[in-house]
Amino acid sequence: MIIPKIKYISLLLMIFTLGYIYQHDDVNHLFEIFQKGISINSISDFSQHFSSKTYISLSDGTTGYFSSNQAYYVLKKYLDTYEPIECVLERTKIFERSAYATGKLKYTLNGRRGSAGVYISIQSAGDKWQISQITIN
Amino acid sequence: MRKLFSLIQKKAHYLALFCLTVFFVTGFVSPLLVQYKEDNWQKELSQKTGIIKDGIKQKFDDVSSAVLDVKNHLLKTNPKYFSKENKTKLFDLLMEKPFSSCEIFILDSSFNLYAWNSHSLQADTSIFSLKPYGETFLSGSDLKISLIYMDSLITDNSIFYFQIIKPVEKKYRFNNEFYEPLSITEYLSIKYNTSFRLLLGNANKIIDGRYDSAEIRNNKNKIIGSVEFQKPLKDAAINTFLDDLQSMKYLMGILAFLFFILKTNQFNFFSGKKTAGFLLLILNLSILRIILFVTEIPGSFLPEAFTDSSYFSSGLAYGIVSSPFEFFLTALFVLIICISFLRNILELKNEDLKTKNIILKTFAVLLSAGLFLVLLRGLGAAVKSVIFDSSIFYFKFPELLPKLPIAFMHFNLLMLGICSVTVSVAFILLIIKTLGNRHNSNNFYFGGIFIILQILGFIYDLSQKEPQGTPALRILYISVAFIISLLIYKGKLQILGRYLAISFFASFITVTLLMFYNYRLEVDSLRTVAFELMRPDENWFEFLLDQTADESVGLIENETIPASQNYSSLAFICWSNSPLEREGVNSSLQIFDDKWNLLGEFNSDFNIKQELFDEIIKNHSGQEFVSVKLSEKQQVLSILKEVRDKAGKVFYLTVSALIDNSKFIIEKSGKFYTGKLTGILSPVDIEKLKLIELEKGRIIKINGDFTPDENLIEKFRNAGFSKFNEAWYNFSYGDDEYNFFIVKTDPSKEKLLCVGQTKKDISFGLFNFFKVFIVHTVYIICAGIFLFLVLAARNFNFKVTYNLKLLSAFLLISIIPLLVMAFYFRAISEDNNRETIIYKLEKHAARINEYLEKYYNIYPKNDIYSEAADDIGVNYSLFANNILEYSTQRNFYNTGIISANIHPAAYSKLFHLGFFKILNDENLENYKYQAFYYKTEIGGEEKVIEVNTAFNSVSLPMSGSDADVFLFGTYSLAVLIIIIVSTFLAKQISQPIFKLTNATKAVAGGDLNFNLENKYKGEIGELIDGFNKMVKGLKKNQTELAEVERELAWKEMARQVAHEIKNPLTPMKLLMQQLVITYKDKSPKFDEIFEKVTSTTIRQIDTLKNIASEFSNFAQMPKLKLEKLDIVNSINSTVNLFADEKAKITFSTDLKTAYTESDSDQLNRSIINLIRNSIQAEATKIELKLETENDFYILRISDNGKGIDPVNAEKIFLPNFTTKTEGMGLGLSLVKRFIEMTGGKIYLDRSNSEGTMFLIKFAIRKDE
Repeated sequence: MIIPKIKYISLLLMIFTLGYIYQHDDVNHLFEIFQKGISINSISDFSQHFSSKTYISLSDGTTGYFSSNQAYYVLKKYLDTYEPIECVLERTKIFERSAYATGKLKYTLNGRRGSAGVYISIQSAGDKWQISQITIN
Repeated sequence: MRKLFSLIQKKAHYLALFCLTVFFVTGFVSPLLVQYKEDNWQKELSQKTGIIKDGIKQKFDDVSSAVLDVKNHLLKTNPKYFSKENKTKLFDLLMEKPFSSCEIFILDSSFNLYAWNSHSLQADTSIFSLKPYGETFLSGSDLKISLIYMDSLITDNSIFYFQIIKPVEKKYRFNNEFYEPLSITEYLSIKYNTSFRLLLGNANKIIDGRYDSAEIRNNKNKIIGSVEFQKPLKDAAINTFLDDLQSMKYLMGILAFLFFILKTNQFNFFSGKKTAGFLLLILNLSILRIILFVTEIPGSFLPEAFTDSSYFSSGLAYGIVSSPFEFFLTALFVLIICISFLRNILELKNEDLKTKNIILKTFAVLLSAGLFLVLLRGLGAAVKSVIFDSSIFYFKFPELLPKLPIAFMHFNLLMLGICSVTVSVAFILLIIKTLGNRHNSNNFYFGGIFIILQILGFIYDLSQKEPQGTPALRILYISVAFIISLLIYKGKLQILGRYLAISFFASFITVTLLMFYNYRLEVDSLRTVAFELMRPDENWFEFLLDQTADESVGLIENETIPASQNYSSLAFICWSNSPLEREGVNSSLQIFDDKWNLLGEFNSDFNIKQELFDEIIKNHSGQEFVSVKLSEKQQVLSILKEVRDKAGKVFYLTVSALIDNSKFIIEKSGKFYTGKLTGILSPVDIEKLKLIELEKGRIIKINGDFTPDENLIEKFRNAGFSKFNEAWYNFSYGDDEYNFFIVKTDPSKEKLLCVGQTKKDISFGLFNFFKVFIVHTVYIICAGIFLFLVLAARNFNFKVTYNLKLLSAFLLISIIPLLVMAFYFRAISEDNNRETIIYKLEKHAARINEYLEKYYNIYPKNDIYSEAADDIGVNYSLFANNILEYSTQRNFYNTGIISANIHPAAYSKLFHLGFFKILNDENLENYKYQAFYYKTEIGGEEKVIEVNTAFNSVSLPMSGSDADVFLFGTYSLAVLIIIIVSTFLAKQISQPIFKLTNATKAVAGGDLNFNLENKYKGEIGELIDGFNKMVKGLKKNQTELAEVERELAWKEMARQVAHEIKNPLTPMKLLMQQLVITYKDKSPKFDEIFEKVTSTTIRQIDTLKNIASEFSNFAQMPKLKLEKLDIVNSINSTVNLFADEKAKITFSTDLKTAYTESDSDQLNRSIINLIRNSIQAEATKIELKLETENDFYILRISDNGKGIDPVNAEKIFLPNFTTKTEGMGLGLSLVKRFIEMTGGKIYLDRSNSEGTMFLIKFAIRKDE
């Protein structure tokens, strides 16, 4: 009797772990495409993950909640000015319904290099993850 | 202008060719130019650097000139101003121009502050002994770098010292609308597109080939500082050059396209060409639009107010409306197409749409109706996008004058509305024209179409999951669009009238939709606010602290901190440039020396006590972040960094944030320095929101003036939550209605966050509506004036009519008093508010005074000052003479944001004009507030208590903005009602006059059949009666006169005939008598006389015969000369005779020739007769149409004259019948006789008030 129970419990644990890994993979994947998208100035790589109201705060003073359409153009305009060289997300934290990552963005502005801190927060909305906040400082 | 335009059109192909050449040449030449630029880069760099240095010098020279100018004025000031008796006048003088452009401090001979005009800078008297007199120098005071001039001034009996200070650079920044930027380096950066750094004195510059610097010299040519800048980069310069070349190339391409179209005459937007022309127009405009979008011309040259995507951007059509300017271009092009479409529809004739195919007709009608409804939905969707895809809050702020981006978007919305209404009207016109004919004025027919459209609209809405707008709006849209279409169809609206009707209706509908969707956004924003309140968590704060610390370290590392540095100012500078400020987080920044002595700090709504510092520092061993719990709901998160300045001096920096779960993060004071409140950018005023946090049915946090009772709390807990734990709940409570968004923040603890708002009352609705409607009205009027001028240039007749004069008089009489009342009430409201502020602030000050007086000698001074603030709950400052002694907001005085000197205006009034209390209007940056000063004596010393609205909230019965909302909204409605009623009244009064005028003209023109309908009473009714009687009398007299004349004419003719006949008869009688006598006398001369008599008689008989023939010929028609005659040719030549006639006469036929047997002259005369009759019947349009029917040619001659009276219709072909005062009445009878003699027929086909049609049949020539 005990052995089937152990098997059953192990199965459940495996499912949870796989689920957790799958969920993490999902989140990590989103962070990856965000990192890549910013690095090569290709917002469309991750723009479909914007929530209906995404909070964006950028070092050029742009701050506020923007619709997914606007978020695309606001970020595009920023990255057209602060031309990205590389974006690296150094630290991530994943929770049950939210996750965030911080990192650095290296850019060129008028031919001069600079760097800014990057913060991205994502939220779970049903079965998908959506970007709720992007800060580039 | 026309000549210029036609000249350009003639040469357009050359211009197009030129542009194309430049386009291609640019492509070839670009690499060569770039190479040239690279090869000559050093020379160019040297030139650019020189320009930059000149620019720097010029900028500082301007500042220096301003300072020296003020100095000169000060030295020329009348010395008596400096006496003690005139001190008030000195203060007043210093606050006027030109002195008010600089900060001025005047010290007496003992270096005590004597007079000043500054409230933002602290007087630094120590500097007088350190710096030279009579020359300018740069000083980096705590928060600003300034150019200073010091000198002395000798009056009759004393010496004074003065400082004139002109700030050139602020080191701090606020991220809000109150911040007044001042940065010479930023100005230079924008101008020269590189980075700048201002260095004082002999500060070390970067020794690096990438940098250069320009010296700043003072009025004595001594070096006082320098501006270091990064040299322009070759790559950046070349990229800019390539971008410019590219832009020029694109511009040439666009111009070539435009000239090409101009040459081929395809840009004739408004000629109303047929389908092919219209489609070509769409194609050309689409191509041009795409070119402009791809090349970003002219968007790339415009300021950000027009091109910033954050103001508006939509993903529609690959971004063709991705910014306000792109929206404008797209809307403009669509508008041109819509207007062209409407013109095409207007020029369609009913006959063009006549078809007996019922299926085709039905399909056309249904398609038009369907497209019309889709258009309405499209308009709704577009306005929804304007609201939801935009960071502009159209109705949040009660300002009457919109800012530029908002004004621009209003214009775009108006254009969008006009597009929709124009095409809607066109579709309805198409339906009306397809289903009926022009002369069918049956109201049931139009009513039927209207009802069908409404039904289709209803069905269409039912078929949609989410209809745009409301049913009422849909019904209104269909109704008004239909009415406009009908008025156009019936010819009641001409060009200007159509434009105004469509534009104002478009404005009304777009503003209504805008308000509708804005309401939805406001409700939706409750959800956003809720998530915003939930957003900040420890991770977020860690990020902010980390960024702030890094930036602060960067700031200190690049400077050599002087010994005299105000470290509180430095802490403030670090904080103000950090993301903590931007996010409005309760935070604090401290600077310690290497021995952990606190050097300076800045706290933003967060006071850290010493014990807490000790705790933080103790826990920092090796950890990056330290968290210290203050209570169950409060914790402090802190980061510590070590930093060395350029000189190697060691400092410690702590940056801390307060995570306070006991209250909502939006509760803050001191608005002028905070960033946008915790990032909440909401269409609703955050301060008016109701925020409630519940845990297991108990209120644990609340903000706002709304407290739910148990019943309501229970309803919140049981609201229908979705699977995402969200719910909406609307209810009435008291007199108000509320919307609430509820979210479960922690289901396990039954924690709910409720965010709600009150539904705005009608005055807000009116205000919001008219705020935008009036802006639209201004645009419509401006465009209307332009249209009017264009029409006037085309000889459009505009008259100032009696109706217009009446209307203007009514409006002037009504609106001016209304406006006067509005301003008066506004002024009263402001006065009341001011009185309220004085009352409340005075009360606070009195309570502070009472408290201090009571406990002053009992407890230590500093303790009692802070106890008074805590016990009474008021923020205040205390001045001893003119210097700050204590303040609850010491933070701001320490950093130097606010000067520790009392406000100069307050000082002057209190100490030199004998006032004891005053209310002063002051400002910090652009933040305006009121400060109440209360002079008192405490502990035997003269003190001044200051209480202000910057740090104390004062609720007003009706704030300025509330008054604006109420007055503007309700008075605008009143003005609109006045306009409508005045228009109606003016029309009512002027209509009978107008009718009388027309009637008089008609009578003067000879129409005596005019009878004016009289439904008026009083004098007007009597006037019309009298007029009708007069006309009847005239007609009767004229008819009688005509009869008499005709009779006279016939009598004259008969008399003439009788006279002519009598002439030969008389001699005939005499001769006969002579003959009889001769016969009776049997005279031998009988034969002779017989001969004579007979010959004379025969001659006289011939004479009689001639007379008879003459009269016969006079009355007789000339003989017919029948021949093969081409009717088409004949009519054409006849119509050409009337080329100069005012009436428009047209002849149309599908026949190339139409041969009949007829007399050319008489046919011409007949047609001339018919045309003349039409002209005399006041026709402006006469149409001749020839076609074949069976074995006849049918000629229809129709006009839009006044028609033939049905009573006379049967008599018109009778000879001698006429209704005219001239003529014999033979015209039509002769025409009829001629036509019938040639085998044809003539009929009166129809005649009514809208016109007459004659139908003539010609027999087709047998051999044709």
